Amino acid sequence: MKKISALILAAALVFSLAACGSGEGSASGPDEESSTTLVSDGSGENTPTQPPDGSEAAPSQSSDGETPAQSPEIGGEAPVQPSGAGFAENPDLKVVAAFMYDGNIYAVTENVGSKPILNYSIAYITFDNNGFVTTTDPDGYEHGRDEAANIMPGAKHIAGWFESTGSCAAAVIRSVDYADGTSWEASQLNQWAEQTRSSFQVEEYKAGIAALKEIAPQAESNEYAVLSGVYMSHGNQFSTSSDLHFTVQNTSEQGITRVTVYVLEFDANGFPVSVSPYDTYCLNGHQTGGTVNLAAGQSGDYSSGLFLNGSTTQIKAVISTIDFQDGTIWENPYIYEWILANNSSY
Amino acid sequence: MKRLLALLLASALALSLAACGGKSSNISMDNFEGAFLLIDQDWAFTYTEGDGGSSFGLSEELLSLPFTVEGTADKKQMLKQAVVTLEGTPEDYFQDVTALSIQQDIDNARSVPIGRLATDFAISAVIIGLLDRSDEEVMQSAPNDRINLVLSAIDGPQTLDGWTYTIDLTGRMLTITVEYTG
Repeated sequence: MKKISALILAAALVFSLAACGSGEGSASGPDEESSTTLVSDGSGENTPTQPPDGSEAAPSQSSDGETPAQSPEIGGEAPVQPSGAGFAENPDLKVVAAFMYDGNIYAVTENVGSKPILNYSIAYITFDNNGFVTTTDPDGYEHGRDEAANIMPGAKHIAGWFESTGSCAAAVIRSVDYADGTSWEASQLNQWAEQTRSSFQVEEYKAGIAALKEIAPQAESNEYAVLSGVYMSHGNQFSTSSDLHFTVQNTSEQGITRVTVYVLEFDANGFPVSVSPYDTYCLNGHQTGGTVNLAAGQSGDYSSGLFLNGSTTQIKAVISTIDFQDGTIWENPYIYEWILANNSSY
Repeated sequence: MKRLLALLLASALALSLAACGGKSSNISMDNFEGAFLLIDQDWAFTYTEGDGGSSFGLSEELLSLPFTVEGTADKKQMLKQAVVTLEGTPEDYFQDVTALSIQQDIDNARSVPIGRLATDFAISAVIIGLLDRSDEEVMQSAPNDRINLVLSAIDGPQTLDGWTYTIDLTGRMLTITVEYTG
């Protein structure tokens, strides 16, 4: 009799497990999700900031069940995707990369849709160097909002949020406000969080960095201006800092009024040299530039006095922005990939 | 007889000095110009020879701010007077500047506003330029007590080692005048 009861109980247990088995996200229904996120009320949101630097960097993980988190141009191995049926990635705004530095999280986003985007927010999870979760929010993820981001179709944007822990990050779009007045909000973000927390691999971060290195060289040339003759000199004997020199040639068909150059600094051994407090996006990167007033076809030599750290012996540089005479501005579409791929060593 | 000879020699010496137009300063033009080359080794004064000596000038950008040096030297190429100008000095520069703050600014050059840093360089160069560096020592910072005395010239002319320093800051235009008064 006992044996029969045991068999019946065992059968009942197997049956109940089978019933749960296919419903991976069933424990977190819409009600739970709606109670945890979605409304972009600004309270508890972190403030976007100008990022300092990023020694740890990698493309983010996000998901739509099929599409890799990185934009297709970046390539590389597709990260593990959440498989929850209720979560779907925003079709217009993608997280190209998310990285941590000095207690801040930075997210590079790209508007791959056809409508301008005014505001957006991200959900993110942070991890330590061993891949363990450092996010302590009861929701399983944290979130940050970027007001007035104003991202045009095809454009990329970077924003940072203070007070984050960990050394690696995974991020996904949480909400979007379009210029036409419509909005989008992610549902079932807890599914994304659960899957991302459980499947995160530090090795995938490293693979992501390798993927960035493939696309980063595209930041080094454009059809509007050529940067050349980049070198450093130490002319001021009062200071240990060195001067930066470079040449810009206008290869566009109209006048260029301003150019900004992004520079990474390294020591003789190829290690990054800190440029604090001017570090932008990474420990050893900062920008210089200004008025150039170059007519079409013209070139000019420029220098930035005492711009470089005294320990710096090697530099990498790319044009980051160009202001044209007609008022339009070109922003290097691969600058963030270039920075992330190049900042750690010469 | 000896006394008469001594008197004749003394009067001859006095006459010759008077004929020369006064005693030369102890600062050679090489000495003075060299101090400004500390700011930029590619800079060079341009000289114009005249009857009583030469005039010189320099017009450059110091950290992208307009910077000039003009003055005169005697026939022996010893500095007589100079006027240094810098456009872009912060209007409140002299409110808290000290020898120590100048050195701190220069040590942390990349985190100091350009106008302030350029003024630090200009003042340092003038002071070093008027140091008798006959030992040809490369001096990259001026003695603190000398800097502090020169800085006080913003309140009125200061004299040191036969040189009179005058500093004027009108708007953001700094003018430093040095003249050998013996």
